[in-house]
Amino acid sequence: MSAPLSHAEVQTLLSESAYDPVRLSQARVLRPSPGLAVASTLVASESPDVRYSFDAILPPTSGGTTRVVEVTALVLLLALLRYPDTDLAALCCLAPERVQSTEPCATLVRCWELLDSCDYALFWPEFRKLGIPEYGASSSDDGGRNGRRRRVRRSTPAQRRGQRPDRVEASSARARRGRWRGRTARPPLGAVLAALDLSDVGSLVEFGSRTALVDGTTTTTTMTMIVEGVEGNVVTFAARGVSYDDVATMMSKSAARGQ
Amino acid sequence: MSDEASSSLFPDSVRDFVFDLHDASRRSFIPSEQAGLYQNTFREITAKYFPNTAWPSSSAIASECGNDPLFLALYDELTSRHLQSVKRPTVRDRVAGWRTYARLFDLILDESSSSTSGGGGGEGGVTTTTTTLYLVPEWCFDLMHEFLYQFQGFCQFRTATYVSAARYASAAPPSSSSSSSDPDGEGSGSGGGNVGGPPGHVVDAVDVLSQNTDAWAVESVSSYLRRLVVAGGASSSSSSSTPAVYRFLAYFGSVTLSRLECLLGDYRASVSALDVLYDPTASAVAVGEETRTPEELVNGVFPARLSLAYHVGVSYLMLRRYRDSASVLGGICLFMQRGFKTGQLRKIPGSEQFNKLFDRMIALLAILSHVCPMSVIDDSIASIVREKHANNLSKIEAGEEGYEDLFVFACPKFVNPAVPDYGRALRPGCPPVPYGHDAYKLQVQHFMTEMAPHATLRKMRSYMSLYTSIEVEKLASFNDMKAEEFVPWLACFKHRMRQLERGAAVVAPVVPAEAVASGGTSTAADRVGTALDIHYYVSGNVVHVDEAEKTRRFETFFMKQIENNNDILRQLENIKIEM
Repeated sequence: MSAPLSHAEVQTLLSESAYDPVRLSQARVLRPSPGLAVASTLVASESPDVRYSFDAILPPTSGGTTRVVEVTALVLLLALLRYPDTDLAALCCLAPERVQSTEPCATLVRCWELLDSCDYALFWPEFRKLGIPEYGASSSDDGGRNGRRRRVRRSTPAQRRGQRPDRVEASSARARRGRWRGRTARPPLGAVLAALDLSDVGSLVEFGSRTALVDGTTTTTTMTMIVEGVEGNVVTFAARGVSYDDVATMMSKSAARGQ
Repeated sequence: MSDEASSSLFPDSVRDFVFDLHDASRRSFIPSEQAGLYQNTFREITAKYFPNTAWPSSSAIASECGNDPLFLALYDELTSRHLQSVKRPTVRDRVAGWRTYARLFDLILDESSSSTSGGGGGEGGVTTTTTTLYLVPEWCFDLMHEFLYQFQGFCQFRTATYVSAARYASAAPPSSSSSSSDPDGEGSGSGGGNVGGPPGHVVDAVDVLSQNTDAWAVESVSSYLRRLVVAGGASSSSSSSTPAVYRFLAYFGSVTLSRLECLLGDYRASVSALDVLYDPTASAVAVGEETRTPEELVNGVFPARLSLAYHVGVSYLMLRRYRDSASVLGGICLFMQRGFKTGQLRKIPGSEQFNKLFDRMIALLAILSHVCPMSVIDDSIASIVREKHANNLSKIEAGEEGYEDLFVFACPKFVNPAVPDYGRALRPGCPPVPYGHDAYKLQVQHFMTEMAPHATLRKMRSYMSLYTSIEVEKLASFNDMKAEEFVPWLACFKHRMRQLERGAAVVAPVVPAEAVASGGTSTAADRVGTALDIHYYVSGNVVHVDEAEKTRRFETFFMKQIENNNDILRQLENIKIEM
């Protein structure tokens, strides 16, 4: 068996060479380059040939865990950390069901489903099942934070794997949740704390002081702290250029006009 | 001797057809002549002499075209396409089909790499100093379309063969000592000589498939399509110097590539494969005496336009781009509705398939109209949707399952490109379905997961549209939930309706279907928009709601009345009054 080809070599092979069964068999023994680069390619979704080679050529190993599962898990994790800028739904359309139901992919898919349905409070306990080193999350691990019981899939603790990124940017992930919530609401304090996996107002204020909305042009960049303030039981998120009071005034005027 | 003998076995009209077609495609390059030969003469001769049989082999007619390898490859493709339409192909026919296309595309790509830019004009045709091939757009699309159709059929065939072999292998008795004379104990021979083992034809098929695992490999299929796009200069700004036929193949290749990606479940790639069609820097392409943009070229071949619209509509739906999906599908359905009324579509070859595809697209529009309340489809199409799928929609309203039936009816036949492990198929205890081959089931399941929250979201929307402000607890009680359970749904509704849209980010409540259906844009122009028709936010524990102002459209009414008035005036003028 010839030496595995790199991703770039396979791309060149498939886009410029005439059909040749020998060279095709070379392409088929593609071994994933270091997980992160390949995962980035998969997330960027530019080269379908690479993806299909994974599914077609990697048989299950004797340990029951395949490289397909490992790489898919890495892809899902990277995409999850950048959600909603990435399209996890599209990724789930490509990964076979058997891979998606194998840990840790199953937990990652479950995390995505919880985020997609905006169940932030249930997201954090599920995310912690992956066994990624703690990043200063709240010590309570209340899967039923809202007092509900949900059927959570049982899974073995995820093993530390070499292909996992060295640093999970948890603060950036939490920041994305914060920006996401900010689009919709002046929400109650309790809901915000549960959604951001924070324990008290102090930690929320501290988080807000570290996280900013960035509006950039080529010549100017302005930064606005994502949390404007906490008044009583209500948290006010910064809306980009929009005041909720102005929005409320406009809406009441349009309602009056319609009557 | 064999050539002489075989050449006397078919009519002169066949010889003349081959000669003329070769001349039109390799020497004279007269589009009108070639179109007549390809679309009419070929069908007439087929119906008269070969209605259920194969045309003469390429070796038999080689003398009529000077043994031109490229033309012979085109002839092989054309005739095998006919044969597969009248006869169920065997496994060897399918593998031979792959060899035919591989040889054809290799020759075309070699030819394109050796041709250089040139200019000039022939007698009503396209002639360049170095162009050595011309195929009319319809031929180019049919070639690409059949290529992918056979790939799709092959993927389904090999899965079915595996399943069949596995079923027999699992049902075979554990001891085979008294059952066969086969030394390896597996099914072999013809006519099911092995007691309890797979029949001979299944074993034979598994054997042929095992020996030809490179046939219809997805890497090769995808590679050919991409190389044709590149060869046609579709992805570069120097396309104006490329001979027309390669540009035709490039653009129809991109339509076919979009279809391939959709069938494989890669919807983002399916949409982005069409970027070359909407590239504003692409030069116009000569089609006979006219010049057309790439988009006009594709729209000029209706089956290509239909295939593009259907597959990109499905892709948009699966990518949660409901407005784009509705506008694309609504636009093509409106065009087809008018075409059915005037009878124009019946003149197009293959029109018997159009009705089926129309029904499937209407089913998709039924889903979209339910999920995405902001209307972007024409009223006439909306009424067809209500008429055909009122039952399903009312079932969904009542909380019963209806989306799955509609989607299963309307979706394409998804395939999985992975090659099964044929060696396991004949062993007892093998998996009943090859690994990862439930491609269809995966897509349906994913779709149903996407649709699951929409019942709640729709109910929520219906209550919110009744109020300008309402307490969260009250709204939650209407939806049979506690407040803390309901709050995530408020964010979820906004999140799910936030989607990419083609072109401008400003969202109009109603967009004319034709305006968006015909003007495609590349993915670079996609912007984030919203499919919500109501606007709301939460302040404290109160939800403030404002429904989008409905745009009243009067121009349709006035246009109709003006048209009626003109008809009446015309009739009055034709009345002769004799006094």
